[in-house]
Amino acid sequence: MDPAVAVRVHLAPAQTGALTEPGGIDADGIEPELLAGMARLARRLRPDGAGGPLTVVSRRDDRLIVRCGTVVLKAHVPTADPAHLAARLHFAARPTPHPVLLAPLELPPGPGTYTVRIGAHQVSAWPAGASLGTQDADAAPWEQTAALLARLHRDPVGRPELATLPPATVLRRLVDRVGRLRRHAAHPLAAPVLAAWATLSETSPPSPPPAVRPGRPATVIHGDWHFGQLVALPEIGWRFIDVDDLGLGDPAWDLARPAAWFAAGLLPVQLWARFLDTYTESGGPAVTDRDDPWPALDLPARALTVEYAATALVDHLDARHRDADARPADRPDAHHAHTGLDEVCLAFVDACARIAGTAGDASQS
Amino acid sequence: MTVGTLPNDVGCLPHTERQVAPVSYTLQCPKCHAMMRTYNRNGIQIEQCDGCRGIFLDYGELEALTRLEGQWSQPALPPPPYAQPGHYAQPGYAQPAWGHGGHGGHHKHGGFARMLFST
Repeated sequence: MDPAVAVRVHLAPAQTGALTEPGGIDADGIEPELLAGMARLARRLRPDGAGGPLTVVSRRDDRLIVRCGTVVLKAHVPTADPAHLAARLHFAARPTPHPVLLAPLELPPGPGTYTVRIGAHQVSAWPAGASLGTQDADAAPWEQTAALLARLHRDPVGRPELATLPPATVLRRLVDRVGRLRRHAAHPLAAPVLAAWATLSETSPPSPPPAVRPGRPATVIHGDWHFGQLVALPEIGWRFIDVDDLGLGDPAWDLARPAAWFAAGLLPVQLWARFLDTYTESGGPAVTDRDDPWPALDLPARALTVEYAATALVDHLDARHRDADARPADRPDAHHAHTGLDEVCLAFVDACARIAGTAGDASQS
Repeated sequence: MTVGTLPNDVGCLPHTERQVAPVSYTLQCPKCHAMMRTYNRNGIQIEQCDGCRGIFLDYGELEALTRLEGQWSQPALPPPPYAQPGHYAQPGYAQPAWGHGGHGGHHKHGGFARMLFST
């Protein structure tokens, strides 16, 4: 399928509105120096005045993304390792005949400069594209993303990358969320999730699986792929964004989310088949036995399932405890333990129960 | 024909009191000539003599009882493998051991759509 066709389809005004609407996300609490510095950087990059006012696109975990006309600026988390971030940005920027990643813009004084420091943050700059949202769920580009993942995973890893690229960051939230879930260990839904967590390693206490797995291929992987990591640019097509977790790892990690969605019963088999078929037909190395992908995908999919379930449960239970502290007379009893949890969370908790129940089966690797 | 004397409770077939309640007196025992009662055991009509406790089975009823007994004494059959529609029944589209086993719903509203696009 020609990506350019899809770009035109997905660039409908209604879908880009969220990116261009001024003040879409509240800027309260953001350091004024950071915003001012980002505005200055945008003006230097687009001196023709195409920038216009800054719009906050996203803020989470102490990182900030703003848009200024045709430029998007990202203030990375202050804890980002400068050498690792530089290696990741250089990898995305390197010339390649079949690009997968959106290339960052060169920054002054260039060349080869992809971040500037503003206060505590390293800031990178990117061409603005159209991203997807929940309204695009039915039209999500499964084939295009599978082909891009296969291309990324087939990218030859040269000496410079081996020397500089860190291991990919996978399961960024898992250890934190499981730790927080332990504080709710008495809750009936916490037990299956903690039991599934214990299946992820043979160590005691359990530890998260590494990005590079013994006996598995190691390639460059995105590390945090989902459909929010795709943007479409006119005349260019689909590209992956957000290289903050990119690095060396088992390519199966990039298939772990769809695999977890499918195994939880959330993703229809038709979509799973389109994704898996395109990936394998494009030569993706994560799955070598097309008829039995689970020896490769099982552990990553289980880990993502635990991360999904723990994250949703902790969010829900922490919020409920805050409510209960505020209104002690209104504490929900055990009978209503599931109230307010959405079906997606419950599907992942159910999957965790099945993971714990089948632990030790020969099919699990 | 008369098949000797069987215990009152045939084999190990489960039954209820309602099922074994006599429904009628229709036959005379060919062995001792006492009256026989008709019982319904698990859907099969049998006649038992009030006198010698002998049991009269019609054609095919012994085979039917044997078959029923075999079903109850065997372990439960495993559930049929999950069948997926069309060519998706290929092994590559199977679920893992801990999989959901269903067709997979498409939760367009809310949670599933958000999940597609977020960390």
